[in-house]
Amino acid sequence: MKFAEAINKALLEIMSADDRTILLGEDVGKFGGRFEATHDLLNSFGENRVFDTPINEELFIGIALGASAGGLKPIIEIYYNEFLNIAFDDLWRAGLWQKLYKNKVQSSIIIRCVFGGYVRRGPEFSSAAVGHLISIPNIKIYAPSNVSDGYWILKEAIRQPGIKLILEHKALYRTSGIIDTEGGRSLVGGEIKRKGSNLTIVAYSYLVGSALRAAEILFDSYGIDSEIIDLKVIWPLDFQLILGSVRKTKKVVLVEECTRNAGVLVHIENELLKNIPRLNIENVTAKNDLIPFGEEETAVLPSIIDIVEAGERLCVRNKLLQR
Amino acid sequence: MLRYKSGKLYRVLFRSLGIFVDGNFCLDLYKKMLLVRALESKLEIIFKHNKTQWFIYSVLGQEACGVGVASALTHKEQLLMPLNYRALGYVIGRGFDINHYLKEVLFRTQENESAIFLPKHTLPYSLSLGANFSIGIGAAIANRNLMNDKVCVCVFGDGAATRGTFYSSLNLSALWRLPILWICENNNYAVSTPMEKFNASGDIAIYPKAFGIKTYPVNGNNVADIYITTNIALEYIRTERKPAFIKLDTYRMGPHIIGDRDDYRPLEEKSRWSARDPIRAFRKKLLGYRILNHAKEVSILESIEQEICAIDVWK
Repeated sequence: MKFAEAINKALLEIMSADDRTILLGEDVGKFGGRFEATHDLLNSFGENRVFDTPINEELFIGIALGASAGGLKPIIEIYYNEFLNIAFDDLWRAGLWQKLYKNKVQSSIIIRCVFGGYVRRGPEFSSAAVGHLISIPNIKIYAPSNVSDGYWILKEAIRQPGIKLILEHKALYRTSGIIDTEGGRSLVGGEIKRKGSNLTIVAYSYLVGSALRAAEILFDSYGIDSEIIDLKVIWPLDFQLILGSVRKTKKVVLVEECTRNAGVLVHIENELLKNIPRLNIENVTAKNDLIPFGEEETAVLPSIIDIVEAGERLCVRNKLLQR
Repeated sequence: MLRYKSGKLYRVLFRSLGIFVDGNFCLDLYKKMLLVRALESKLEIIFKHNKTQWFIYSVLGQEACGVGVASALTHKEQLLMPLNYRALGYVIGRGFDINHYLKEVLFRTQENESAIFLPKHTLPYSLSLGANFSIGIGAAIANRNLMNDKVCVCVFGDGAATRGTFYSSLNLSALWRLPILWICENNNYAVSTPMEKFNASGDIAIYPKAFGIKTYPVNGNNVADIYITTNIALEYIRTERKPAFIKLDTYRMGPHIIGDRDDYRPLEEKSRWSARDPIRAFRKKLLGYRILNHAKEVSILESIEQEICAIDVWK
């Protein structure tokens, strides 16, 4: 099953189960979504529940706020995460309102948008920056790393109250997989994808796949047994899970697709250093530069080799230096 | 002048826009407008003693808009506007609890520091001008989908109407045939900037017309006209299942915020609009129709005084 099909299945099930859900976005109707995630939903639910909008990102979150105040459960699709910045004014307000109106206004809003690089969309449409999004009060940000999580995270998000932002990686739309029947169980915070004892690798979204591949290489080449944590919920962070793993391995590689100052893992780094002083930390992030057009983007974005090298630096070279 | 017998009382009808309004109801409108003005002058004193937690946006001269629109609203209409931004007319016209309103909006106490005044039949609002348009669209989608026959009444000024969200929201409301009543209080100034400096068209009513929205330009200083037009527009929205737009031409006789330096408007313009004071004009009409007389006026003024004294926030 393709990633888009898994999202489509989840949307179909959510919208069939609750007729208060509405879907709103650009080209989500007849066209079926720019990434084909909303295929055929217009036929199933009609124009009163599936809205093709003009290019009005500045209104999307406000519409969602109004609709949820009126008793609906809106699901908003924003094409690229760059366009989320157009809606930032309302997104900020939506976050504030979760506390400002207290129990007077119940809102349950899901915002889905694609983000990230590795699909050659050039400097304007390849950003994976999330650091500005966590400044929004009371927001919950999910980032699925595979097909099964894409499905389960959407199903989980509709049950939660508040503002939920789901960042679906562009490159994941080129992957396929199967939906794990028990995938819904492990959705509190992060998940340990691979057990290990020498090294902890923290990643989220598409780079979890790269980290898993890097872990294999590290094990085959150096015998380094690494533990991989997939942050399914990137904000608020499940810090205890990471701390538990790092206490065991004493070494950590933080993998993120955006530049260091635009990400969330810098917060993990701070917290870890507070709890475990003189901890060995390596960061694998994008280089502080524009993401070029075409294949050249790999020069800026982090790669599997970068993760392997970081793990190697921590486990092998540091050991040699200590001798 | 028409008279008809209702029970034992003779009730007088008031004619506006070719429609007859009940005389006693007109007295009620008059009383509400007076109450707004009296309350504002009281708030002005309190504000100048630095005892409020929020600015007082002057409604002086714009009382008719709030009272006229809000008096036409029932539990089937949802009011959407910043209720602490030039909203005293709407608060009193709609009959919200003034005590509660003042407590939460002006004298925020420690326990409800972050809470916002949100009475029944109002939608959560933003203080950011121009942010409420999309909230109205969302609420109207909810009302349409849940088929509860409610209409969202979104109130804003000519300044907020220059935000881009205004045009895109008008477009969506017409496109999706949403039950929304847009109400623009056009006082020709965005704080200190006059209309001719911020709006090339010079007439807000052009925009809804461009999107095919039924538009009612009304004299915003005539409370009876406003009341009737609001009713007509609500009827239109419910029968035609389309949005409607009311433009109220009025003038802010006071400063933007009480205590502001109000020196950017020509005196000649101010005095011209002072002559069109909505309360004085309405009083003249009521006297002419013999709905109002000296005895009634005294009793109205006394009841207003009592109401203001009964507000316990300044005790």
